Amino acid sequence: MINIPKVAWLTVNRTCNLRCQWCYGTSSGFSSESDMNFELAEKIVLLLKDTGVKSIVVIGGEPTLWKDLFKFNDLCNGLSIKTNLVTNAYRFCSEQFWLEYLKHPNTRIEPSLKAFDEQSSWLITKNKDFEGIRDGIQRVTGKFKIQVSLVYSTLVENRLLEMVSTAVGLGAFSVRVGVCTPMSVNGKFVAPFTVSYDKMVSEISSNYQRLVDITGGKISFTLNTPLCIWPKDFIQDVIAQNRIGNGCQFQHRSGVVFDTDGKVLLCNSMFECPVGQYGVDFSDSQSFLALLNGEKVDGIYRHINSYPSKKCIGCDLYARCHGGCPIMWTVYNADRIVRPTGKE
Amino acid sequence: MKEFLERFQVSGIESPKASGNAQNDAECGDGCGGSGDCVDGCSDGC
Repeated sequence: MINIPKVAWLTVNRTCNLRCQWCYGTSSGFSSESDMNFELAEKIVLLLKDTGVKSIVVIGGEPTLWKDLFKFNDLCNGLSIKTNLVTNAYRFCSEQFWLEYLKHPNTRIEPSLKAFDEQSSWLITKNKDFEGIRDGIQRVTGKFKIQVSLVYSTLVENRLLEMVSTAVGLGAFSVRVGVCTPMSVNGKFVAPFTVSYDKMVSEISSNYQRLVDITGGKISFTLNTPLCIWPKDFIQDVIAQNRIGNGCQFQHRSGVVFDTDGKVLLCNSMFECPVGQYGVDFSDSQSFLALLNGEKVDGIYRHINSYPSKKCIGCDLYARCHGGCPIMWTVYNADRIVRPTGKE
Repeated sequence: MKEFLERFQVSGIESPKASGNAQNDAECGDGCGGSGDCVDGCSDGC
């Protein structure tokens, strides 16, 4: 059976107006010289439409800094392709930019909140203008009923309640808490900002009911961990309330990422392992699907998606977590983390 | 490529392919916390 991606992520630039320490952009030095060329973006969009991809997530860097964003949105809107803009929303604090953006909107916007006050903004993003960031997010939430996402890292450890409260205070309709994954630095995955599993489980599960109360129940989690490490009642409730998903696009082979130069990544954290490039390895939907379903790509999926630990075999929770984010297993050893008690 | 794959400390035992909607490509609101706000893209594609 041929895998056809449902969603594509388009990395349109690497530059950003923030400097989040845990961001994959650090590896490229947030370079302002690697913006995606509009002609390349247009070719990729046409290829994706022909392939059957219905939704494109526009990411960076910071995509609102991409000079061709409005032209790109007009193109996708004209082709009836849904786009989701993932942004820190800082640029929307400019009324002039916001009004211009509204003439060329994405289908959906997902602001990503990095901090909860000026001090934490400086610590995490090296930008003290928290007021500007706040104003930008509020412009979006004031116009659209949207979700605000945040990254749970060591930099906001023990401050999860403040982060979620801030998101709600800024008008988020719902809040998504994502876990900071390891990052690649000089050819090696490291996890200096990933909260240890013990602390993560303790802070999130012990505050779960308060998080539900603060958000009126509209909270979800991208846990990225094996589910067996969490308290059973917590997992039962987040599943019952549809507050967690079912693995990531890499585990489902349902997505694909394009880097600024047209290189294809199977996961955005795997930018050191491109599997092909537009104009070199493929140029139409047929050759693109042949690449994604070829032996080389299949081998990567099969290896990385293999059971992280033998203990996962037969676990009822595996169908839900798939062993957690595979990138975690570049840093941690699953045999020491996975608990056979996850078997129900 | 081989070196890259070796960074993943996994069992090498093939697991069943994931089924259903992934958390970051769902079109039906999976993982949305019941908000009804369909999540069709995670924040960073990973």
